[in-house]
Amino acid sequence: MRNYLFTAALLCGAIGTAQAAQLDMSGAINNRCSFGTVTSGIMTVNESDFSQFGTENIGAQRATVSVSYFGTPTLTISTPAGFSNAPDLTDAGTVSFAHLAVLGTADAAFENTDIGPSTDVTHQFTSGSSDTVQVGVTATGTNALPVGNYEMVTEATCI
Amino acid sequence: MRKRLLTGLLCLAVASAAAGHSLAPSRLYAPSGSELIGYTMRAINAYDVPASYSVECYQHELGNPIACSAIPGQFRLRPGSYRNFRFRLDTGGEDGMYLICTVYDPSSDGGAASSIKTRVCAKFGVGVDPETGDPK
Repeated sequence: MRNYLFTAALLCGAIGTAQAAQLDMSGAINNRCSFGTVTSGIMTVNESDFSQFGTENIGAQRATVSVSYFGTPTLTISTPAGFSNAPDLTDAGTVSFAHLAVLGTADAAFENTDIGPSTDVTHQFTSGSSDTVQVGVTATGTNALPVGNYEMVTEATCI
Repeated sequence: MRKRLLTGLLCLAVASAAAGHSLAPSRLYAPSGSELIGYTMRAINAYDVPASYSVECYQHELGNPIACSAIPGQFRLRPGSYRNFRFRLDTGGEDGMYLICTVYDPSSDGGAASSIKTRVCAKFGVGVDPETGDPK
């Protein structure tokens, strides 16, 4: 009798261990990106035309930021409506702005062409994993821009 | 094989070291009709300088800001550090894409003549795929 019980217990145990357990795993790799070091730009006056001031003159430099990304995220450059800080520009007359955005690689869609103020330009990365964005600006007044400190901030958004 | 693995790891390390301002996770989803969405996000400052960040929320696109509650809504991170923040956003039951962003303005940390404000956003799809925007 005890042998029968022992055999039955073994069989039940054997049947128990034969049951399969399904262990599922799931996950996703999403588009993502991050910004690297921001290098500030320098704006100077055009020595041959004092009404022009910006990053494209001698001694000036564009602001740059590096981007690292996985997949195909979207990068948007939003140009400002004007200077974030400037002296009184009344005597300069109407001041117009020509922005530019340049991507450093062959994947670039931003071009070295004029972009108006308060404008968004967008590029979706399709290859690669890093890039560098350059932004620049030229401000042109009806008259020469006055002496003082100027600041301008462009926005780069990665989604 | 080992050389390739080492090269791959090196590239990954370089890519990580190059990153300065990032946000995780980058994509989130909530079922259709969710009136209140929220999550604990992680803001990362991999710059070698302290940096101040603020949280912004948008509906559908960048030009359409929407009120959201973030705790903390502004914070300063030491070099190479990160912190979690929680956000809560009332969708009013409206499906679509919501953007949760951290913003870093280098000019606020010392001033510069011409600078770039960086914004990294996570896509939060409510009833839509956060990647494609298609109904889900």
